[in-house]
Amino acid sequence: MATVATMPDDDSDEALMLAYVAGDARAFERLYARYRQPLFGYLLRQTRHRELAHDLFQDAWSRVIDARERYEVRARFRTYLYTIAHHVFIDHCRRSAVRPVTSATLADGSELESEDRVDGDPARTLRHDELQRRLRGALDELPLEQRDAFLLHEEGGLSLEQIAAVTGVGRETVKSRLRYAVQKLRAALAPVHSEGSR
Amino acid sequence: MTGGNGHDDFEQRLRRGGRLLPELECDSDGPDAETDRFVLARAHAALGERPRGAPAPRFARASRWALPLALAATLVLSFALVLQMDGRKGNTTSGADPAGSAVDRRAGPAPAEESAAPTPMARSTPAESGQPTVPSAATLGMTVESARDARNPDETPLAWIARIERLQAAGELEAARRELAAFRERYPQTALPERLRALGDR
Repeated sequence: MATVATMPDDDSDEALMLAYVAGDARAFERLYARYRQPLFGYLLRQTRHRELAHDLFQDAWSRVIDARERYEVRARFRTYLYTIAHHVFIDHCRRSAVRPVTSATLADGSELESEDRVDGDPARTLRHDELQRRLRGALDELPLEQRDAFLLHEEGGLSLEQIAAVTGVGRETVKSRLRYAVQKLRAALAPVHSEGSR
Repeated sequence: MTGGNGHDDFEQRLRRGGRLLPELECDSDGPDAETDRFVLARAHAALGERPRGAPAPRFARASRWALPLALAATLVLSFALVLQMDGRKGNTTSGADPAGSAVDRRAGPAPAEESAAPTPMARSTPAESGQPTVPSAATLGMTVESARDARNPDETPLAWIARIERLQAAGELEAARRELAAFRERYPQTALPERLRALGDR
């Protein structure tokens, strides 16, 4: 893992985690508020199962809490947290021995929510929905390594180096996985884009 | 994107940061409130305190089990009640006195059970007595205790808590407290439902 040479400033993730380790529960609350949405988004995309995503999310945070005494600022907290979440998810995949993603909808039958709905234009709404549906389908089809790298980048906001640290591969490997993932996803979206430009 | 320029473009996009695929929308606003409470309660509990102004923490995802457990508990108690009613009715109509029943039991296949070392209460089972079970605090206690003794080492914390709650609901407070103490010893950082916390504080 990369070493964070400088001392974290008071509001940094690392400083908040250290404050929590020292007994400041409010520091944890702030840290949690920063990462609850992106981390859950990462796990939800990975599992495509809301209940399972909740379980893995709790598991990941529980591990952070349980391991707090051993926490050291050796890397960014973001990398640390996503490394744990990544392992939680991989452990789950190994236990279940199946890839839990097979459809464009969640396993419980519900659709993933969109961040915002397209304005009242029915044609745009249809196109938007089709775009999201294709995107989810294409994400499902990605090999696990490519999808993982892509989601760590897009949902987690991790850099190439951070993804490399999380997944235990080299930077160039991560870049290659990301490139292939984006190529495939763009190819899946191309028909919708070309239709929209007509 | 396969040529040299494509590689350069991709590298530049990566360096610029931001999303590689802006079309990908955020899927969720985050976990539900119950999960938020669970994580924060756990974080506070690890420090030995309760979240400020927060309600008593509930065990994670407990709501999933609450209804089935409540139904199961209701069924068990109802069944026990029906058996008790039947037993009383049978005694009344046959005119058999309780002593007679005891004699019958002594003639049963397991006399050693009757003369065994003193136990808090008689613990005959239907198999031993050949009679319908007459539920009492003793028989309920035996059932629960047997369940505890037969505890699966892989029992999840959630199942364990549910079992303690069943003990509490059955009025087996001592057993519930023992189990609660054991649970706390094994999972010291797990937040407990409020009513179990009260049980432990007594």
